[in-house]
Amino acid sequence: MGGRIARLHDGNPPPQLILAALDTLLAHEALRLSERNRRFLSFVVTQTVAGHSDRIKAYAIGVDVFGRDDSFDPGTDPIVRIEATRLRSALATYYETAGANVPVRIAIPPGSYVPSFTWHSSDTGPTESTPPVNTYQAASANADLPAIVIKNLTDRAVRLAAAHGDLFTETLIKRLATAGFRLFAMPSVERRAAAIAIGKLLLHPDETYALDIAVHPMSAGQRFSWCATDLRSGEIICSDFVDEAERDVPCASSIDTIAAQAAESVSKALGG
Amino acid sequence: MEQAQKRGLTRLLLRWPERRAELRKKFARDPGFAELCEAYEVACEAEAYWTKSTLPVGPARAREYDALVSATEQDILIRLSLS
Repeated sequence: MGGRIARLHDGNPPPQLILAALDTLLAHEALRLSERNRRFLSFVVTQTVAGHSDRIKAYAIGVDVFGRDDSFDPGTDPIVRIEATRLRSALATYYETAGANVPVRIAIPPGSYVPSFTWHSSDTGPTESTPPVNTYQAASANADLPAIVIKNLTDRAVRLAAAHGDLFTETLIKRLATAGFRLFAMPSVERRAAAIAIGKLLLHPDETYALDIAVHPMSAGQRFSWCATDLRSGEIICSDFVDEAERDVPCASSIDTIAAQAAESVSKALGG
Repeated sequence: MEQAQKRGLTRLLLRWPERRAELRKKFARDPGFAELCEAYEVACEAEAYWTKSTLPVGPARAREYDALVSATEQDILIRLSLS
């Protein structure tokens, strides 16, 4: 079941990286933007990512972002035109200075309010210092192997599945760490700082893969699934599942076996 | 557009006479800076328009554009400081 399944994006950064780049950009203190120009930038980026770039017109921006009423006339009230130029200038300044090594760049080309998104390669490496959030990094981490961000998608409202999902995650981490991967676990929403740090890590997608796992309750058992994704292309590198029948006996050992199988398939797919 | 850029530059030359050489040099070399000059010109014209307006919203718009003129001046100074 392993192997390359789907190519979701071609050439340009994938939507999740564009939105992560937007979040990082808006959170960066070096970006000089007023609150409403931050809304302006968010508006045009999210509309474009959602496939609604045709809605990005001066009138819509004036009404939706700058609070103008239905009588808004961009001819006598050129607020959008002026703020767009200021926004372009702020972005250009940011990418020339603090954001020089940001890999996913957002720009608003002159003559339009529709943003463009491009990869930017850097010869000098990242400038931002990413906090060390890799709690699970193994002593034997192999520098030639990519980092993996693990996200447990199991529904926490289903207690048994949630408990099994935690066991599944723990064993996967142990196995993949032993194989030499650098591992990061996507934290809960309460741990926002760690989530932001991982978000920055995701901006270097050439070195990082996402591993989404989940335990799904079924009528007579559970499905343990895993899916590794190349963040640069959106391509699924490895995806599989194992259905486990309901048992009366403790199931930790069977979860360990499934996790070992998952770790082996992910390691193989990612070169471990 | 180009005319608006030049009018904006002219306003800035009058605004900061001690920085005229620097302004002209940056204007000639940096298209982004020239666009900021145009935005400055457009903001100044809009401020003048709304200051004269008899519409109820006129005074509020005039204040908004006055603030925008100042903010754009700051953007221009920052852009000017980049080599």
